[in-house]
Amino acid sequence: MRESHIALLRAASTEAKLLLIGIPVLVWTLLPIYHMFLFAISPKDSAFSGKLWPDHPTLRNFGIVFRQEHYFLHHFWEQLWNSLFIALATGALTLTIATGAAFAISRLKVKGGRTVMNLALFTYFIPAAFLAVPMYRTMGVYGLLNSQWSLIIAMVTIATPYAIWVLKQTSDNLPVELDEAAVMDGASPMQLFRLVYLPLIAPALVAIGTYAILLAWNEYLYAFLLLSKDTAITLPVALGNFLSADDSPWELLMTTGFVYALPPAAIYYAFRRYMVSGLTAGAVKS
Amino acid sequence: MNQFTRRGLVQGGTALGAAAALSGPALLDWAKAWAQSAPWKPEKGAKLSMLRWKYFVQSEDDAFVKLIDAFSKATGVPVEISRESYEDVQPKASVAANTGTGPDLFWGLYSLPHLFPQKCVDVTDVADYLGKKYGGWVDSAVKYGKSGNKWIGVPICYSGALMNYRLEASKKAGFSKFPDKTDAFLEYTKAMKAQGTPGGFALGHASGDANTWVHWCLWTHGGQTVDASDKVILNSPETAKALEYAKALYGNMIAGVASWNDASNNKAFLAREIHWTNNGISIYVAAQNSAKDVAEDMDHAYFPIGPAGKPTELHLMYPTLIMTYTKFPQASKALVAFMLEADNFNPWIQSAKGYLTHCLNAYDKNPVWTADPKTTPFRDVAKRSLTAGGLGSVGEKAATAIADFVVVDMFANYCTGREDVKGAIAVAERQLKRIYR
Repeated sequence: MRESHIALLRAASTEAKLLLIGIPVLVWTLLPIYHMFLFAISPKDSAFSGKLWPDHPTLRNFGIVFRQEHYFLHHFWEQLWNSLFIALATGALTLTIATGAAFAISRLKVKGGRTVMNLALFTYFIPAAFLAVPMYRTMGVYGLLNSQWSLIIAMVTIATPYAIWVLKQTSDNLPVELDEAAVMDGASPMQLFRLVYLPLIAPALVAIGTYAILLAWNEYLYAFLLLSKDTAITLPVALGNFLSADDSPWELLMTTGFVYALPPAAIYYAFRRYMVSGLTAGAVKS
Repeated sequence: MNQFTRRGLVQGGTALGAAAALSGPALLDWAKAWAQSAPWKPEKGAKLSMLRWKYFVQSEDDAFVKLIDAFSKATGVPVEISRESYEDVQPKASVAANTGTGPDLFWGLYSLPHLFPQKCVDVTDVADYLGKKYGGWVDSAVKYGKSGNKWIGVPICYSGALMNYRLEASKKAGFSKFPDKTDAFLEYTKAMKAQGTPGGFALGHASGDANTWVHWCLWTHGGQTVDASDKVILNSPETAKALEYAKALYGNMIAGVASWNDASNNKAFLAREIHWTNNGISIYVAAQNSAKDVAEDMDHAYFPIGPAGKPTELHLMYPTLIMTYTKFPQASKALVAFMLEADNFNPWIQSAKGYLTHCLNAYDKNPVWTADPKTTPFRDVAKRSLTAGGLGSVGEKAATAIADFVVVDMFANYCTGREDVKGAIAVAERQLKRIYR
């Protein structure tokens, strides 16, 4: 009786400790988002009132953004599309390259595969920011500056090594007997890849695809450097332009930021199950 | 159909007084005539790209696009324009200069060409051509544009930062005219506060507003960050006097200025919370749209003059430069010259509503400066402006000192009581010595 009491107390204490950590973390995380939302629903003249809730909340700012009625927002839909296109293209290309590489290294055991993977991982020794200027130079030489493909290529370069590593680890954990059975049944390497390998690593593919999409969606430095034209830039870079005047429309900046933050939140929410399982699959060898 | 002769058109282009805006076919005809007679003949197959700062007002960009379009049609040179927030032009220009690839022309802030003078095309011929034709360059423009004996950039315009004040409240406080001396200004701020109509200067990291007023305050009391040979000379009795003066002003300001950014004083002025501050013309333009009573009851004035006995203002310069890696230097030069020709520049600067001020003396006659007397003070900001770095050079070091808010922080540290006079100066001096070593 006494022991069960102690166990109960211990569990309650652990939960209390978790709550003590969790609540501040939750507040810390949500406070900026709340502020962003507060600006978004505040009229221009009361955006800085410091109140916890505006006296006259309005959705007018969203209307201005969606109808592109401010001169900082004249290309809003185009820039949102640029972000979407670049993010999706980055996700698709990263998955294509990484899946093929992981399959070749892990399942086909190609010669030098391990070296290739190590070299790819080695790129992470150099911070991505350090590669920005060489990347700019390279894109300039190939005439790709101000082209969305320059950013897509840069993002794929950054995302692929990690994607290969995760997918390779996941592949290593798949029973090799499945491949052997398929080969016994006469499957070619392509059939093995398409019919056996891809279905088995689907959760990891979702996780890696989401990772690559969000990486490109949130990118600023490379997007800022490689793209300049109003019609070519992504929305985060366009948001930076809001600060080019001393009478910046903060309420519109925050509204646009809020709109931009919604798709990643939705993507993460939709795939949260796969994110954890996919990214940790293969982290511990069975 | 063409009623214009080439000579007549080019001559007409120099007629400044009326500053009548050419448009449509007339602008194109003039542009074609200009292209034929201009000293710079674009290379065959030339195409240009230019990165400029993001416009403050849509009408300015519309006029700019129109003149670029006329240039392209007249010369056959397509020009691709990209825009960045004005503080972001410099990093992009630096990357382009160091990698040798990127836009052919950059139009940025302050001393941009001096960050990489060897990478800038010598544009002495363009500057001389324009200077001779339009009454010469103002002194500060020459300092920003020249490196040694050659011009490495062409100063396009300034963005002025002046005193903004409410008329009625000032009168009520006993000042029918805005004070033009620092002692009187201190009295003014005291009287304004006493009657419940205070003002304020930004003491936070406000790139434009904070830097302009603290440099004015330092210089007008005889203080300097560096001497003509870029030796740090901040630690002086004059700097201490400037700090004491600023602290007295700070006591008469509205609470919270230590955290102000560039937008804070605009917001406070338009919300009728403050009645004097320093700013460009943006408060006035915004007030005309959204707070007409404020627009009617406000005006602009120069910064008061202190012991230095002469204007010591710092305004934002916008120079343009051509990169040496361009394959089309002649086309680039033609474009820069074309931008500053009267028939283009006059309507363009008019469309900027006073945000931009010319650096060529002849443009004083533009009607934008007289149509509304409240914009008139902005006409002379180029003539009154000192250059970034004061007595020192206008290179990377001066730009870094401004970007790092060294002088702003010195004033903020003392005014808010974080440091005493010696401590505030010592911190800033240490930072400056690191920058200028």
